[in-house]
Amino acid sequence: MRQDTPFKIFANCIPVKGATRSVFCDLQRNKVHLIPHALYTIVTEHQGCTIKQIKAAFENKYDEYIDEYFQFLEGEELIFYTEMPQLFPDLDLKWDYPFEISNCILDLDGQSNFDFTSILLGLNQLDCKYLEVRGYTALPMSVYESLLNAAQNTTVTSITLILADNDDCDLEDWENLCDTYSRVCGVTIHGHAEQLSRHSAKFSIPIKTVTRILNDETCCGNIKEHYFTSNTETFAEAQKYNTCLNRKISIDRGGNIKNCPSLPERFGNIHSISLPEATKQPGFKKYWGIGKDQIAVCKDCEFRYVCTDCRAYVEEPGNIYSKPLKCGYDPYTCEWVEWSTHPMKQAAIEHYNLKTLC
Amino acid sequence: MVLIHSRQQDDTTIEIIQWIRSIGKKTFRVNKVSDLEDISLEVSRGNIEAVYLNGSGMLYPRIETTDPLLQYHLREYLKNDAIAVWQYLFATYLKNLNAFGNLPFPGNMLNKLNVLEAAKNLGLAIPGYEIVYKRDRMNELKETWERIICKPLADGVSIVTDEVIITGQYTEEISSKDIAGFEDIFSPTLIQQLVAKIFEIRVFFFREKLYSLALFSQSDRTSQIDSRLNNLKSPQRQVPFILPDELQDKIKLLMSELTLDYGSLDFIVTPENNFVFLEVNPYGQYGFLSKSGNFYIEKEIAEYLCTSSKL
Repeated sequence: MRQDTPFKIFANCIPVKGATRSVFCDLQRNKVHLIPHALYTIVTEHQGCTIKQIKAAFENKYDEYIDEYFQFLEGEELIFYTEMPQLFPDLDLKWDYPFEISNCILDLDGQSNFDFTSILLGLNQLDCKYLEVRGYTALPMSVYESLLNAAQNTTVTSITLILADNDDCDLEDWENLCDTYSRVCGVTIHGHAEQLSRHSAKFSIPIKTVTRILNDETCCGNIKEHYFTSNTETFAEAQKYNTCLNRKISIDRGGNIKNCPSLPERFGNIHSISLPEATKQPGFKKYWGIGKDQIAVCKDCEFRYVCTDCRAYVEEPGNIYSKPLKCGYDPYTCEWVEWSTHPMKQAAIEHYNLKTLC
Repeated sequence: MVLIHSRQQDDTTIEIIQWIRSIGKKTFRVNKVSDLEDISLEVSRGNIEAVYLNGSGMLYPRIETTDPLLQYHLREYLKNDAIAVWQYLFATYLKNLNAFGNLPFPGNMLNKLNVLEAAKNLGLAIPGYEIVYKRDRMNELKETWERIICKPLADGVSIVTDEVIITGQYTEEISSKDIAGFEDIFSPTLIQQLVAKIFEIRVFFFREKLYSLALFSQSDRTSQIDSRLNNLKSPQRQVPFILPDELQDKIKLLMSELTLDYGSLDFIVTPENNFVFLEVNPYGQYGFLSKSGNFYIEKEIAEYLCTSSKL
């Protein structure tokens, strides 16, 4: 530890203050470190000072704690020492994306009779890059093949498949699918008898099976620690935008074009309107600018810039600025509890008619 | 439309294309020798408005023969012919267009030694260096400078035949034990003093604008000598950096002297806080720099390519 050289926080490690405690978001190494408010104060208000100066500022009453704090900061490589702190600026948290739509969710069940060619044509016109396909019932492999064929030569270069287990298909078949269509970048099979995971032989695409069953879009919207993403792109986007809904489009099982399949607002049906036309409808971008700083409770949460969000299922239906219903974290007590059994949430659960609380 | 020539699997190029499309311009991507005809056609129609070049990526036809030597010579012959056409296009029709990048052909290569001299003449600090031919001299330098490194004089070596694979593009430290194993006399070898560093600076220069990152490679042993050798688990810290004004001016002068409007420059910052210039790379990749600094360099380049050309 260097007591006499000013310290500086690495610009991509950003301290964020919550109601009760703070965190250090390491945007380069995708880590979130819990820290007490006292350390938040030291690193934000005393940045550019030496440890000696900081100790003196606290009248040398907390020297031991301060040394301990700096051991931690050094150990995680969150700070460094330099005689020229003025040459290290903060990270610019601007966020931009070339197109109006970056991601699309396409939901499928037995009733979804979609013209994949026209859907992919629409996504191509929007310059959409990512597609997530969620299949709720077992469909023949030929359905997925025709979808993936339609994606050839379009801007949709990354396709993730989350599909219902199909008795006619084994892991080999999914592997073949991944190695035949180079745009597939991951496959998850839900409702499988066991949890398995492997990579396809040729393109090394991750394939996994889970036992959990996804019945419909109401399965979405969970807020969990392992969904946190600590990187510059997400952190910067979260400053002003909703990281779950910004630049997204979706088609629900019935072909309704929406911002997200779980949201009530429809902007036409895929059988009668094109995707680019739907994005021009008034209200399509209604949720895009609702960042965490505007959402009740979330705005006091230390995880607000690394978290996902959900505007479809909220604690107070009708208040689009209320906390995600499926979040069990309380930033005032710092405790995670099971959201689905929480007495305060039962009315909302009933309102949304959430049958399977997954 | 913007003419694009780069490596095929380059993520940065895809981002450039996306930004160009978002501005409403078309792109025309070329990679094969047979594309040259289409370029000439588009040029004659007056359709090419700007050019983006990044790294190599031209694919040359493969000649079906079992003799690897014949294969190699035929390829070189076809390659040089194609290069002649490229050079002609750039000297004539494509000359006055807004452009980013340099064609990766031998005539455009920078000579490291010339660059070091030019930097020195502008008052930039450079590490001690010497071209060494004999083992005895190498021992002397090792003694004088304590730690020495060896760098490729040109592009390094990359030889792959049926019998051998010899590759080396990285900078490596030379130990006394290494020297003991050398021949008395060897081919010209660039030896540089290993300068102690607290961090490295990577500067991306484009049309008088500078974007800089500080790379803290010292905390991790794998990247101490060459910061490109990075540890994946706890990657080296890369944070934005503000170059002192005087250094910015000298970089601009150096780039103007080398007639480059784009390139990456490497510096070392010593424990005494001195800035030591290492090299300029006119084909440097800037994608990682843009991401680490959240600079959106790709967007700026695309915007420049989509503004009307100088003429």
